[in-house]
Amino acid sequence: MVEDCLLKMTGICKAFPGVKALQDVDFSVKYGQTHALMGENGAGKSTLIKVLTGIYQKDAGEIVFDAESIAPTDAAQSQHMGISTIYQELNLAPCLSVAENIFIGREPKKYGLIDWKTIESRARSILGDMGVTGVNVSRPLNEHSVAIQQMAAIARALSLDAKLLVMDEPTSSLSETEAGLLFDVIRRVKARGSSVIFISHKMSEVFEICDTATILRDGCLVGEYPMADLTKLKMVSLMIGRDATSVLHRKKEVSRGLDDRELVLKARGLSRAHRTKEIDIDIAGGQILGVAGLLGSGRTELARILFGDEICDGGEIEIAGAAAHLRTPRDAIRLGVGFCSEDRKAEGVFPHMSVMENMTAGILGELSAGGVLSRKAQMQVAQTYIDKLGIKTSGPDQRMGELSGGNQQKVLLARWLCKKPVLMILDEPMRGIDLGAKSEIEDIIADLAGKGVAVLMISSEMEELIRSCDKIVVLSEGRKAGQLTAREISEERIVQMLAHGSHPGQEAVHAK
Amino acid sequence: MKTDSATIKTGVIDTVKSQGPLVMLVVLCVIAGICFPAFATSLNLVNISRQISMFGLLALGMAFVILSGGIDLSVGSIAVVASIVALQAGRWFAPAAVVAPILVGVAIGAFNGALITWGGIPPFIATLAMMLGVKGLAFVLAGEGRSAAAAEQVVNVSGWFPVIFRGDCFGIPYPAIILIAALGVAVVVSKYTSFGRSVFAVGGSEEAARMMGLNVNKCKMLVYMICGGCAGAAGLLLASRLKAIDPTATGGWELTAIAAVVIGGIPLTGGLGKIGHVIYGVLILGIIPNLINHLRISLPPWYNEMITGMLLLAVVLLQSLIAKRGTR
Amino acid sequence: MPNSANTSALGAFRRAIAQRQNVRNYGVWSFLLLSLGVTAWFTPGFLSWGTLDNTLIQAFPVLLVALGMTMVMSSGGIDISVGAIMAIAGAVSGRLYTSNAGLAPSVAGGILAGGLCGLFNGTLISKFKIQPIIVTLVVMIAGRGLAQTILGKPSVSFSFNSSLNVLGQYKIAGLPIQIVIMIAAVAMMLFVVKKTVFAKHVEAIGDNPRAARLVGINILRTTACVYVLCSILCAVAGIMKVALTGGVNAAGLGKFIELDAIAAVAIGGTSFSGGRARIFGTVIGAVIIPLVTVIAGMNDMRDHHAMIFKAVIVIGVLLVRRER
Repeated sequence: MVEDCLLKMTGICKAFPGVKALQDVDFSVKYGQTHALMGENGAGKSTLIKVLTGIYQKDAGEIVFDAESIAPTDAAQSQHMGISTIYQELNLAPCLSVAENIFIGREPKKYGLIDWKTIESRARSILGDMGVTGVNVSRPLNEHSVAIQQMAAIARALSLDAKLLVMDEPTSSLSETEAGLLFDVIRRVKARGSSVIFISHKMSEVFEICDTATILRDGCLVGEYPMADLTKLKMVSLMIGRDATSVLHRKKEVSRGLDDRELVLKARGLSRAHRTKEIDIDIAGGQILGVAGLLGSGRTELARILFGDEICDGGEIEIAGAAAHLRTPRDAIRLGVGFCSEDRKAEGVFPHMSVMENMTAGILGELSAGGVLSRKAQMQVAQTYIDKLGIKTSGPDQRMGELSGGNQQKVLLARWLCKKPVLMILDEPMRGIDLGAKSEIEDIIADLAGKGVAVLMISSEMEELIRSCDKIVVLSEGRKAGQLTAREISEERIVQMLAHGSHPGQEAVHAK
Repeated sequence: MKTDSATIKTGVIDTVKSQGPLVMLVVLCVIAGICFPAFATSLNLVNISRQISMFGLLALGMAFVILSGGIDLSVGSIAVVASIVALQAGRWFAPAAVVAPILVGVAIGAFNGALITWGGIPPFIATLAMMLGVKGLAFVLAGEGRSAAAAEQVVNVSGWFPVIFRGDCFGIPYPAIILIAALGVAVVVSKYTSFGRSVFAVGGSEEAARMMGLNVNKCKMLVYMICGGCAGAAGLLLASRLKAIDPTATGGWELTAIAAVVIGGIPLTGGLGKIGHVIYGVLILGIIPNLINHLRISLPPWYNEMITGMLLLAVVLLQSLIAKRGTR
Repeated sequence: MPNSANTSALGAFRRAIAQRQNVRNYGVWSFLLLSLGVTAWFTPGFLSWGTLDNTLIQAFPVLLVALGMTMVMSSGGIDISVGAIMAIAGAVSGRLYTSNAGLAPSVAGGILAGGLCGLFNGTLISKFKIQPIIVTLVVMIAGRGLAQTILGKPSVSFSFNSSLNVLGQYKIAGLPIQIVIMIAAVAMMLFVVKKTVFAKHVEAIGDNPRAARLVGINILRTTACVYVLCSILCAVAGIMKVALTGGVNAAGLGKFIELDAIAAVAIGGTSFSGGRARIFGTVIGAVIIPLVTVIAGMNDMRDHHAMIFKAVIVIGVLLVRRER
C-alpha cells in the first residue's frame, strides 16, 4: 500500500494564531499520477502545500516522501528532496533575465564562474520543449508578458527534474492555447514517472488533466475521489458542503430594453501607445457591459484609461453627457466614476488600516467638517455597508489585512458604493474569491445596475460575463473584435470572436 | 521602415537610460576641462583619484547592500574604527596594521547582518544604531581625551605604512589601484557567481527568493560582511593617510557613499542596476568638490557645501528626467 | 453551523493578535522602565526637578523634529534634512533680528523659510518622484551652506538682554516656554493624527500608495504638506534653540539631530515602511534619547559612552518589538 505512494501525508495539523488552518488532514499521491487538490479559498490547500514544501512548519502529523520520513524547514530543502513547486503568486525575480530565473541558485559554471552561454541556450531549449518559442531569454523577466513569466516559473520547476511537481493555480494567467501546452508538459512529466499535484479553480482543467482529486473544506479532509466518479456539480457540492445547483445556474433574465436609456459613458476611438487601438464603448445607465479578452488584449488598459489612471493618446470620453478630460483618477472620481482594480493587494486594500478606514477612504472629505473627521459618521457608514453586503468581520475596527479575499472585495466595493457612482468599472471583481462570495458579489453588481448605475465589468471567466452582463464587448490585441447583445451572448460566440481577432468591418456583422 | 526607426530610437533611449551616469560624468568632465585648464592636468587627476579611493571603497560595499534591498549607515563609523585599529595594531605587530582593520570591518558587518536577519530589525534603523554605537566604540578605542576635539593624536607608524596611501606605481597612486582592483572583483562577483546573482534576486523580492530555494539570510549576512570589509579597507587607507587617530574623521561618509550608489543608477529599492556603474557615481561626487576648489577665488568656504548640494540636485533631476523620457 | 464556528475563530484570531501586540508593547515599555530604573538607582540625585527640567529642555528640539519625522515616516518617506532646516530657519531669524527687523517678523521669517524648505522637499519627492532620502540628502548638504550664506558668517550672537534671548528664557506659569511649546505641539499632533482627514490620507499613502492614488487622494498635495509640516516643526525647534542659546551657530545648529529623531520614532513604534503614526510612542522615544545623555553626564560618563548606550537601547527596543 505504502509502496505505490510517492507522497503520504497523515494527520497534518497546522494552526495560526486563533485559526486552525489544517485539522488532521491525510493526503497521498501515487507514483506517476496527477492529483487534484480542490477546495474553496481558505479551505487549506495552499497551507497544505506550504507545509509540504517547508515554508510552514506543521504542528502535528507525518510526511513520508519516497519512502522516507521528511520534515523540510525551508524551500531549499524540499527542492533538494525532489519536490518542486510553482506557487500561486508569481515568485520570481522580476529584474533578472528569463534564463536566470530558470537557473538561479544552481547556475551551470565554468572555471567556477557562471557560464552565461550555457544558461541561455539551456533555457531556450527547455522553453522550446514546452512549446514556447520566440522568447528573448536574456531580457529581464518583467519585460515579458505575464503568460511568459508564468511559463518561466513552470520551466524552472520542470528543469529541477523533480519527483513531485506541485502547481498552485498555474493557469490563472495563461490563455487556453498556453494552458494546452502546459497540459502536454504535465502528461510528459507523468509519463516519466513523476507525480503532479494540481490546484486550480478552473473545473474543466481539473477534469481534463487529473486522475484523482482530494477535496478539502474549512481545513478538514472531505475525501479522496477518482476523477471518473465525479461530476462538476458533485465536486462543487463537496467543496462548498451544500447543493451547488443554485450557485452554478443563475442565468440573468434576458434583455431589459436598456439600450434606449441615456448613455452614461460614451467613448470614441480610445487609443494608447500600442496597447489599445480605436476602441468605442457605450454604456447606458443600469446596463452591465462585459469586456472579454485575453491577457494583453488591452482590457485592463481600457479600464485604466476610463478611470484616468492612464492618459489616452487619442479619443474622446463623455461621462453623463459631458466631455471628460481625464488626467488623473481624481478627475474621473469627480465625475462619478468608481474603479476596482484586478490586483486587490497591490492597488486596492490598505492592509494595516481598519475595515472602516478602508471603506471610507474615498469619502473622508464628506464625513468631516473643516478637515476634522467625525468618527461617528465613519462608523455609521461602515456599519451600514457591513450589514448591507454581509461582510464577515469582527467589527469596523478589524484590520483589513485579516479579512478573507471575498470580504476584502466587498469592502472595496462598499468604498465606491458609498460614493454613489454613476459609472462603476470592475476589473476582475471575482478573481480569487470562493464560490459563495462570488454569487454574493454578483448580486451586489446586479443591485448596483438596478439602481441605474452603469457598470463595466472585465473578466477572464466567460461564465461570469454570461451570467451577469447585458452586453459584451470582445477585445483582441487592443482592438474591439466585436460586440454581443442580449440573446446573442453565448460562450461559442465569444470564443469565436476571441479566436478571430479583429477584422475591420466585423462590427457591422454583429450590429443588431 | 517605421518599425526600424522605432527600434533604433528605443535602442538609443535604452543606451542613454542605462548609461545615464556615464553621460553625466562625461558632461561634467567636458565642462570642467573647458572651464578650468588646471582640471585635466595629471597632478589634479592623481589627486582626485587619491581622494575618491576611500569613499569609492565604501560605495562599492554599499552597492551590494543596496542591491540586496538594504542600507548600511554604519560604514563611516566602521571605517573610523578600522583606521584606529590599524594604527593600534601596527604598534604591536606591523603586518597586523593591514589585516586587522579589514577583519574588524567584516566582524562589525557580520553583527549588522545578524541584527537584520535574525534580529529582524529594519536595516535603516539597525545600522543607524550601529553607526552611533560603533562611533562611540571609536572614541573608546582612541582612549585619550574626553571630547571629540581632543581625541586626535599622532601615532608613530612604520615607514612603509603611509606609502599605502602616498605611493604610486607608474604614476598611478596605490589607492586608485586598490579601488580599481576592488571594482573588478565586485563586477565579477556580481555577474559571475551564484552569490552575486542571489543578491539581485533578494533585492527584487525577498519572499520570491526564499520560495525559489535561495538562502536569503546567508545572502544578506554576506552582503553586510562585504560592506563592512570594504569599509575596513577604506579605514586602512584613512589610517595610512592621517597617520593619526581621529574618531571624527569620517562624519557624513555614509551619506556620500549612498549618494554615489544612487547616482550610479542603483535605486534604493534594490534588485536593479550594475555594480560597475557605481564608479561613475563615485567619480561625479569626487569631481564636484574638485571643481569647486578651482572655482574658489573669493568665495567663503561654506559655499562648498551649497554648490555640492546643487550639483548633486542637478544630477539627480537630470537622471529622473532621463528615466521619465525613457518610459514614455 | 460552519458560520458561527467561523466567526468565533475570527474573534479568537483577533484576540490572539491583540495579545501579541500587547506583549510586544508591554515588553518595550518594561524594558525601557527597567533600564531607566537601574540607571536611576545608580545615579545620585537622579530623581530631582533639576533632572526633569534639564531632560525636557534637551528633549525639546529632538521632540519637535521627531513629531514631524513621525508624519513623514507614516507617509512612507524619510527626512534627513531636518538639522539643516533648523539651521536655515535659525539663520534667517538671526539675520533678520540682527538687521533690526524686530522679534515677531524675525521669528515669522524663520518659520516661513523652514516651510519653503519643506515645500522644496515635498515637491521634488512627489512631483519629480525622486527618492526622499536623496532629496533630503541634497537639502542636508546644501542647506547648511545656505544657512551660513544667509547669515554671512558661520555664527553670530546676541546680547544677553535682547528680546530674542528673553524669549528663550521666558516662563509661562512657571514653566519654561520650551516645555509649553512642547506640550502644545504634542497636543496638536495627537489631534491631527487622531482626528483629521489629512492624517488618514498620509497613513493611506504610507500603507499603499497605488491604492491611495486610485481612491482619489491628492498625493502631490498631501506629500508636500507632510514635508512642510515637518519643516515648520524643525524651524520652530531651530529658532527656539537660537533664542535659548542667544546666538546662531549655523554650522552646528541641529547637526546630527536627524539621527536622534529617527531613533526616537523607531523606539516609538512607527513603521519604517509607512502606515500608522504613533505620536505617543514618539514622545517617549524623544524623551528617552536625551535622557540617556543627561544620565551619562550626571554619572560623569563620557559622551561616547552615551552613544554606545543609545545604540544598545535602540537595538534592545527593536529586538523586543520585532514581529516574527
